[in-house]
Amino acid sequence: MSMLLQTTINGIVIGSAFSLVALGLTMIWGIMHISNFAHGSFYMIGGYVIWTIITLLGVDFWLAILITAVVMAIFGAIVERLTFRPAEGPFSTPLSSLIVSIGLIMIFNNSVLAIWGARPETLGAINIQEFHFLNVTVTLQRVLIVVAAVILIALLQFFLKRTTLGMSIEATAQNAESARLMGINTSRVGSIVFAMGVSLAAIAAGLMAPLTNINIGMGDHMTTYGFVIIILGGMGSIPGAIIGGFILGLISSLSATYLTANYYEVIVFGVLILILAIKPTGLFGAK
Amino acid sequence: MLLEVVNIDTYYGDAQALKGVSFNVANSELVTILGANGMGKTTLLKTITGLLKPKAGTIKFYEINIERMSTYDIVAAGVSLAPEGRGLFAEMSVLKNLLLGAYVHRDDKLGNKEMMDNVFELFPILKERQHQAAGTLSGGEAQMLAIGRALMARPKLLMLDEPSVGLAPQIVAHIFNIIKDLNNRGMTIVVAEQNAAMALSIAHRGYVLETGEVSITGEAKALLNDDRVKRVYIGA
Amino acid sequence: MKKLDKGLWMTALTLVVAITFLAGCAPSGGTTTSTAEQPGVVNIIMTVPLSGMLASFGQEQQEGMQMAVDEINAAGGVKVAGKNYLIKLTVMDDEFDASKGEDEVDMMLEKLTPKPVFYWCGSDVVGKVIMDENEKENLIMEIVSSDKAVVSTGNKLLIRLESDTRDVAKGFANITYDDMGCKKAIMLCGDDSASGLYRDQWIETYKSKGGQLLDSIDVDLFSTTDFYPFLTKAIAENPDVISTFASADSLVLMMTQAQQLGYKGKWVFGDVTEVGEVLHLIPAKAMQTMGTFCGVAAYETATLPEGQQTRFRAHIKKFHDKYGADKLWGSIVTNPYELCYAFKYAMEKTGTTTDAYAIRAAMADAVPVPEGVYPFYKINPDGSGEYCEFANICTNGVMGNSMVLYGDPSIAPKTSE
Ligand SMILES: Nc1ncnc2c1ncn2[C@@H]1O[C@H](COP(=O)(O)OP(=O)(O)OP(=O)(O)O)[C@@H](O)[C@H]1O
Ligand SMILES: [Mg+2]
Repeated sequence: MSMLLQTTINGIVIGSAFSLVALGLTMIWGIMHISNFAHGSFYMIGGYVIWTIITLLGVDFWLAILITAVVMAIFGAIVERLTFRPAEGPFSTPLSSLIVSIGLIMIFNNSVLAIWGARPETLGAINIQEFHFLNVTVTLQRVLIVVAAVILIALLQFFLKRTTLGMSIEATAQNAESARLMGINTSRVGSIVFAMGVSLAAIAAGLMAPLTNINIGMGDHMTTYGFVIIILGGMGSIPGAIIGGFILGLISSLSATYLTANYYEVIVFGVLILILAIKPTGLFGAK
Repeated sequence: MLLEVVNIDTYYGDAQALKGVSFNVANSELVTILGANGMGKTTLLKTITGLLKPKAGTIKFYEINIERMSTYDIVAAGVSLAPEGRGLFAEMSVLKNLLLGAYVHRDDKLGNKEMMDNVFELFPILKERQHQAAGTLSGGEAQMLAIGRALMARPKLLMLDEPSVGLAPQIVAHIFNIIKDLNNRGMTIVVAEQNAAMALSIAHRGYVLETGEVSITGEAKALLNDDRVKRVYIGA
Repeated sequence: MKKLDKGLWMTALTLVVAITFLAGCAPSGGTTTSTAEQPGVVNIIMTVPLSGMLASFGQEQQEGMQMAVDEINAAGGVKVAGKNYLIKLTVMDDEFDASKGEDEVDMMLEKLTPKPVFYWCGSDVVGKVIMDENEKENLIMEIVSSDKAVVSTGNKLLIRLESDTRDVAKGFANITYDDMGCKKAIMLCGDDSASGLYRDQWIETYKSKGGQLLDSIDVDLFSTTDFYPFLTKAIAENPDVISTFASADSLVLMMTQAQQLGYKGKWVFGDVTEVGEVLHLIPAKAMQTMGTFCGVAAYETATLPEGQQTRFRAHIKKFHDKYGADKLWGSIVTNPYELCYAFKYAMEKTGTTTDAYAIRAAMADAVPVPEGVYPFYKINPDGSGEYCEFANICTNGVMGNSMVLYGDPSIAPKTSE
């Protein structure tokens, strides 16, 4: 019983990170129709950035998260402007953004190798106070990951529903041409959304950084899982990304504990196929 | 002239959809663009609003060339389009659709409130439905919302792309009454229509588009009596 | 692609500078007009990974070799047939790329005079493509590899350092069962092929001793987002020991998190993890409760029979003085260090600096070298080298005595004549 509870909590913690990553991915897809396969690489860079800020500047963890979020948002906007944007235009095909993102993955990986080297980095002990109850262990950082993710999701929801800028983002997602007719600068909306998506991925990486090490490979799973989540939740759907993130977190945790850790990816994809067989547009997909 | 379109060529890839179209609208005029399916009405309105860029020709709005401007600048300058198929934000409430219509005036909360009241006065049903998702409105209500949303931008030129499509005759009549009424109050309006009889009955002038070219143009009354127009578009 | 181009340009520029430098140096060594007092030159070439994943591995090899070269030259160089020769070491970064390494070797063989006779190859990918060429080039070649396909072929000029991970696995399985007394184990390791090799051998040996394997969990430790799910499962099975094959950073995280989850058992690391490094990474406060773990010991931490121990300490001090006290002195450093001396003695004994076959044959008699700490004690007739690796058990931060993981450390040193 306590193992089930422990496993569920583990799943919610990972699910929080998955949700944040998938939120950015789904928004970028919904607004810009870009399959950003470099999303996991942004996650990885986020990890290195927070590590650098904390180790070099000696900044407090939460302030470092904030700085990382801002730095990565700016970085994301610049990258979007320099790569995905020029790849749009009259000659673009759905392949254009794919090629751009694959190019980015290579550039990012090599740059990270050149800047930080191949050796994994660790943040060391951050918020390691433990709570024990019902034979279950949670550390403070794990609680904070979930709390931070929930707050971020709520803030995002408020931003999208209650602010003019947020509404212009939603409008662009629902009908880009109409949005333009309302006087919305949709390519600026694209930049903002891309920046937000990158920032969310970086925040997720920052939140998870104390639990694992920071290395070149840390984003690989995130891209795959991110796409699994948004396909499962419905491409472009925000509730789909949130719920899908937690579902995937629970699946990966439960299957790692109860079935076989070796093949839990098989189970993840199995569930995806099952859901798509029942509802081809995903849980919250339109149509 | 409020709007002056001169010799516009617009393409979809290699396919030319507008061929040297010239078209103008004077202040406070109600002008209709007639044409059967696929003749280029929508293309012309999209070109004016900057959604499509013409390969050749000029478009002047208040004597300023707008053919290279971005849609958001053109909208901010005072051109508003209720697009074909209404283009509502289906998952958003009626209220939010209207608020987005006022996007270019987003900092003028008071003015928007006033404008919203005007729209609700014009279309009382929208007020009743304001919290409902736009996607759940009936065809007539949806068209009213599309017009209301375009009005929220406080346009100097209001353009409507086939407002009658898919609506019952009495609703069409109601909407056209409102269009006429708006025009009477000084609003400059362009209506693209297949329903020529209806459109010509309220318009001052009309243009007939045939495969991307202006084939006939003139006073509405003259067009109503033109044999070609009668034969093809009114079916008399 | 701008950044990459820049990197390429920098590399190209460095190469050009290096070539110019080498070309400029070469005549001074190769001129026949030199007076009797002017020493000759013996070239040693080396390709190792100095960038990327394996950079530290390459750097340690370079440092070991460089230290020997500096010592030998400082003591007057190599004395062959009445003439003194200085050793000149040229090291290039192969970036763990076979074709790059091959090009570099070709270039060095062409540019350097006199022609190099000793080549240290630090990347097995490079070794694989050059291995068949070295005899043609009259080049003694040392190759570091854990790949059996590489280390089981050979020629008369080859020396192979077989760091076979399976020997390590056997050693650790024995220590786990015999010395740590753990009867119920969980194997938790990476899902790559190197980990698989280690895992299978460890399990086989452990079971053959009578140990009970509760579970074997493969995880992509490199890119996993959180270790908790795997640890929750592992700990629930209540093992005496968790056997791992992971980098020190990942391990320390796993150990800390397992402790949070209530694990009180022991840990055994593979040879990718060094106990000293783990000790460095564990926060001091957590040390007292860290429990027992066992891993490969750097020679710093190794405790050996008296006599040897003193020699060990002296060497470590020399090394630390040169490269910094935070460096760990292990077989990766000592092997090139000792083989460089073996090369020197072999040239002096055979009286030639050019006859690669004679020198290579004499190298087998030269090891273990008196300057060495003699983990490298034997070159077999088939070219395979034998050296020692040690393991230490550490309990709550206190390091226990070293045990031999593989190899025979009791071989007595030879004294130079
Ligand atoms: N996105 C597009 N790509 C290619 N061709 C298009 C596109 N949109 C319209 N066309 C073509 O351009 C021509 C004009 O179309 P347009 O939509 O302007 O006609 P319309 O007069 O508005 O017709 P309807 O009354 O059916 O709305 C047609 O031949 C149409 O097939
Ligand atoms: Mg049309």
